[in-house]
Amino acid sequence: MALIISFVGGYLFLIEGTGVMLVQLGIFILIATPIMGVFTCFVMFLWKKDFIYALLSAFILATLFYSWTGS
Amino acid sequence: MPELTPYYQTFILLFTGSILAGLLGSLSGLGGGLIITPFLVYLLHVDMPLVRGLSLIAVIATSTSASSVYVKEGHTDIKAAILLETATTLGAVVGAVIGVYLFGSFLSLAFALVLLYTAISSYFANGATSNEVISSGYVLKRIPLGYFVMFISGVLSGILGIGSGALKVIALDKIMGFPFKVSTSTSNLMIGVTAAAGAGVYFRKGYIDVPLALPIFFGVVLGAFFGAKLLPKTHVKAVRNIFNGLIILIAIQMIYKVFA
Repeated sequence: MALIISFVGGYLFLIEGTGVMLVQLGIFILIATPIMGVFTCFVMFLWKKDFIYALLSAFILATLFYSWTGS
Repeated sequence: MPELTPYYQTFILLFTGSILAGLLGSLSGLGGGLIITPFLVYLLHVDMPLVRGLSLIAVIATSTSASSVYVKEGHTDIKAAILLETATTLGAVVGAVIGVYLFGSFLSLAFALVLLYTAISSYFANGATSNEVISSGYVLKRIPLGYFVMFISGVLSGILGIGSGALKVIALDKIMGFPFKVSTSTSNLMIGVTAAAGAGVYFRKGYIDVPLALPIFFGVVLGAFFGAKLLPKTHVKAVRNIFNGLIILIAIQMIYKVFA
């Protein structure tokens, strides 16, 4: 999915000189993929009532949030 | 045929180099970050701070495309990954925040040492025991030490913009006693999350150059894809030896440049 969007964006960017936003979106989706993986784990552990691991997942998400927003 | 603009030339160079990095990375199982960094620094003269942001993109791309295969095989220990990622992501953020202030020569030296270390540990690794039987109830040992090594691997990942997979595998395999296959696929999953944590800091500081990231992203994914297809037909040992020889050469070159 990230690849497709970046591909379209990349085509526009190279041929038309536009599409930088699409390229950026594609790369954002790429970076978001592992983050979404952790989020899925968080939901899964909550679902199974495994609260220790849910807490650990939440801690990772908080670290990632700090990294991306600086707060 | 229109005349090539500088960006087109850079695009094609980066794309070709990234295919090679993805190919070698997935064949040797050591990831794409180690080849793409010296390629960007020495052949394209990209500044070291920018290189780390770009290399993290390559690392995330390799880890994500390999994970989809590994997780399906079922050897990935998700719980262990979550537990240890608390250490690696924290380490990566600390590393990236420190890394922004470090000098180029120090970074090159540290990078060269990581390359040498990777080559040596890969040479002495007992190799891919492809028919290893994985018992479901492996007992873990030395968890605090493993956790600490994971934190260090996160810091290195953040400072240098690499996945530091070699160190992660050592922590899982040699220190904590995970089966080899579980170590490699769990480490691969963790690399993506660690790199995403480091990438945030570099992105905020404006060190991820989107037009340059694009050909790297395409190239690495393409290279890793062909690598996965070629893997059954290649002699893993031979590829590893080529890869090790290459990174030792790069390491010597980097150390020489720092002291020259």
